[in-house]
Order: sequence, then structure tokens, then C-alpha cells
Amino acid sequence: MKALFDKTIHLLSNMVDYRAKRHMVVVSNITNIDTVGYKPSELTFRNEFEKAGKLAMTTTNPRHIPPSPNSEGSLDYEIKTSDEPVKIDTEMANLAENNLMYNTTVEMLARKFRGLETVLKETK
Amino acid sequence: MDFSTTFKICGAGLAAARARLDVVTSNLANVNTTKTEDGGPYKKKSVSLTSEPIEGKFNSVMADALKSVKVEAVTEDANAVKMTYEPGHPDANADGFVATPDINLMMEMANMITASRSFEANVTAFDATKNMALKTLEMGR
Repeated sequence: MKALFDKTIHLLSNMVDYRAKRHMVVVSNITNIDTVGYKPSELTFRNEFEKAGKLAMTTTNPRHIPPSPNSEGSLDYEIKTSDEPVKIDTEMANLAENNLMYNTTVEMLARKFRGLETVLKETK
Repeated sequence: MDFSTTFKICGAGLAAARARLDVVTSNLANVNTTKTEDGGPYKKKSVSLTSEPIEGKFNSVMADALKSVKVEAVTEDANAVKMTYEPGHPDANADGFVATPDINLMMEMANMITASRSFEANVTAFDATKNMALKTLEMGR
């Protein structure tokens, strides 16, 4: 199983999960735009996103720089609540950005699966 | 992640925006109403919204952040009455003054626009959710 469904799929599905959750948080903010006293939330990664988001590259030469040890960190989310009222333009931008990123990630996953399918088909 | 929860949140937002629009429309329609069933002129109404936690199986982190919206109350402003001098009016008192609703048309129009904008924002959010759901289905193709 590990040979077929490798780190990339694992990382991408984590990413889809994050985007989906973030979408819910953004939608919740947009819905409560007129609610007096509502504090908008933002979903962020708890550990360093940069490290968790990067896949380690294989080192085939001793002179290659080794990947950072934390390259497969689990995606741990954190909610940050702001005391300022909801800013509709920021939230709409977040919505659009998140929507695009979600679609991109799903597309990448789909292509990964299609790649696997091609391999399975062609070796028959 | 279930998209139905997101759809529900969007739906609540749409309903809240529509409730605001309804009340604004009612205020605008009754800007000159001097007689109501309860007696006296029409009283200006306003909507207050409140956020509401969503029932669902989320972990505690998400449960704090996800809030739906609902109409808490529609309040009447009993003081929003102004006396205008109109001796020929059937509802005029002995001095010739009529109690009319004190509704600021500009405020109502501004409220209408903000309500309609938040409605649009919710529609956009709904649309985005729908796109995401469809995109997810595409993954299996």
C-alpha cells in the first residue's frame, strides 16, 4: 500500500482537509457579518506550515543537501480569534483564495490517481 | 468535512439577510402609516442578529470557531414617533398634529443596501461551497 499511496497523497489529502475546514471557518465569518459582537476566527497551522507542507527530496548524491527532519509533520490546526469586527473584503478574498487552493489540491490529487491508473493499465 | 453543514451556515446567513430586508421593506412601506391595529402610528422595527453554535461532531477547536446566525429579535422602537402639523388629516389631534412614524429614509435605504450586500456575500459563499463539492466529485473520474 505504501508504494502506491505514498507521502504525496497523504500530504495532499491533509491539505484538502485543511482547505475544507478553513472554508467552513471563512463561511462562518461571512455569515456572521451583521452579528454584533461576533469575533471572526482564522484557521492556521500550529506547527511550521512551511516544514509540514514540503515534501522531502531524495538524496542520491552525498553532496545533496539532506531534507529537513520534520518534513512529514502532522498538520495540526489552530483557531485564532480576532477582536476586530469581520472585514468583508478580507473574508471574500480568503474565500476565493481558499476555494482556488482547494480546487488546485483536489486537481493534483485527481492527477496523482490518474497517474496511478495509467501505470496499472499500461502494465496489463 | 461535510458540505451540508456549510450549506446550512450559508442558508442561515441568507435567511438572516432576508429578514433584515423584510424589516427594511416594512419600514419603508409604512413610512406614512398613522394608524395600526394596536392604535397609534407604525413603529419602526429593527432586527438584531446573534451567532449560534452549530450542532455537529467537530473537535473542540473547530466547534468554537464555527457559528451559524439567527434572528434574535425584531424590536419596535416605541420612541420613533414624530408629530407633524397637518390639521386636515383624519388622525390629527385637537391641535392639528398627527403622530407619524419617525423613519429616516436614508438610514433605511443604507440598511437595505448593507442587507442586500450581505445576502450577496452569502450567495457567493454558497456558490464557492457548491463548486468545491462538485470538484470533490470530479476527483473520482
